[in-house]
Amino acid sequence: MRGLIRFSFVLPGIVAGIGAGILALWPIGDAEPPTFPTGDPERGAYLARASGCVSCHTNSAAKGPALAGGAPLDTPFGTFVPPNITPHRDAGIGRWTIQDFAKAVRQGVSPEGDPYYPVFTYSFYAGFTDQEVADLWEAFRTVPPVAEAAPAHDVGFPFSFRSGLKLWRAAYLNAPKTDALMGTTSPWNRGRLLVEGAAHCAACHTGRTLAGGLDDSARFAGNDSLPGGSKAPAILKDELLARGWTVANLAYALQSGILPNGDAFGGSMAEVVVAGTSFLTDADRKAIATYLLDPEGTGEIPEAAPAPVETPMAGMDHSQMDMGNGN
Amino acid sequence: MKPQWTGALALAASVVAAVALAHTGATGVVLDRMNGMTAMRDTVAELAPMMQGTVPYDTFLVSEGASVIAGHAGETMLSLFPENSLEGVTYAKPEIWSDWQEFAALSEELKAYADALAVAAPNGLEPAAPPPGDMAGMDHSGMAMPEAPELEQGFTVADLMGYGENTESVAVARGTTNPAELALDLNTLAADDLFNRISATCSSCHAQFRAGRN
Repeated sequence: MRGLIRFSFVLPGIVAGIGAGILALWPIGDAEPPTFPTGDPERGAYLARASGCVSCHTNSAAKGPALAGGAPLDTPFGTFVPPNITPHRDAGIGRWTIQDFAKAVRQGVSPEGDPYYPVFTYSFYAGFTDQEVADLWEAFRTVPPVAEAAPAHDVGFPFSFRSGLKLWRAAYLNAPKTDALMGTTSPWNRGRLLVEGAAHCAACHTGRTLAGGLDDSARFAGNDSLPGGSKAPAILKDELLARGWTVANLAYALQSGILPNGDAFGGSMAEVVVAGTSFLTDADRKAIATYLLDPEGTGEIPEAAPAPVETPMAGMDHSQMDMGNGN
Repeated sequence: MKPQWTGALALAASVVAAVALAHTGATGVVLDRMNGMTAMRDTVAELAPMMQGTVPYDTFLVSEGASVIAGHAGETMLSLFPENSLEGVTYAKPEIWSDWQEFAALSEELKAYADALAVAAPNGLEPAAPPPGDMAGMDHSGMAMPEAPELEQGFTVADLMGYGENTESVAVARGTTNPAELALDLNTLAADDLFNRISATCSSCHAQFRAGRN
């Protein structure tokens, strides 16, 4: 009997403990450069906007101060609260070095060496250059410090065991493909850089595996399970063309929120436009549209279908309801 | 009008209403506001290409369209959202009534901008910005890394980071309520500026108060 108890409970406990210990001791992240170029806060602020830092870490709905903590995100793994990243020394990132900052942004690793939850879209920022990190750093240093820390995440076991994320990183963490391609235009390359990197379109428009990794077999094919029950439509080229999107009207939608049929984005895509893409330059919005409508970089974009009366792109919202005119 | 024509029109209207009902499942006040939203959507669809300069600007159509939007905004719109009218198929979110002040302000703002556009349509579009000095955007070499963008005119670091003194007015241009902004002489603004404010108001309202898209 004792042997059975030992086998059923004690042994698995010991194995789990050893496994947890190994995970906890498993070092992650690479050393960042000892020095960085001089940063430009203007470029950094633009990149912060384009990357969603401001929209995610600011609770606009609650009229919270800039970058002092975002609105909670409800996910199947728990509720995550984007933290205060103002330069406050206790409540924010005021004690960080630029190396800490770079490691957090590009590698998803905290100054203590812990992995960040992938709800922070750091994997899309892995390709940021040293200059871009320095630019961001200078921009963040201009932000007024806010003394109140954001609430902690509300995540149950086993997801609360952060070291377990190291397994997730080993399985899913890949740097985005944002390098320029020979034979393609500058707008296309700029679009690729934004779509695949900073603007992290795939984070919402690509489905997730059970473990929360991006389902690369269905890249940009849409996602019905966004935080809070929201949905994101497919943004594959053929889907976009079938729904009447062109470079011109997609760029305009990213500026104004207005769809080809005169409707306006709802839900979280409206937030993306209001707090993100409306701040971009016309050239960058056109670059994003160019890349999405010509992902292979052929230089040719087929003619779009007439805009449907009801345009599914309006749908990044927080409901499970069917398409219809919103009111 | 001859009685048979009246009857035919009534029949046609019934059919249209029945089709709309069958399609959306909406009835009553929900259907009324859905029709209002549809009228505004169609107007925006007609005006947007003019504001982008892809079709010729027509002062009369812009003014008439703005009047249509104004006619469905403000108090008219608010009257179609009685408290907790969420019966049947509706895309309204309960936040409309828990944050009625914000919803009402956006509705009034929409009317103010649309009224102004109806008057300011003859102002036409703002002159296009001069092209950038460099030719980075027309480089077809594809080998160099894309260049960092020129900052959008008018956005400071503080605006972009979300804390500037200017942030409120930047946000207003994106459809967030601020009564002070409405005190400006909107009638002096360019038509596309007002249209952008209208679309931003729609977008901001949908972001907060509309559900139900996929």
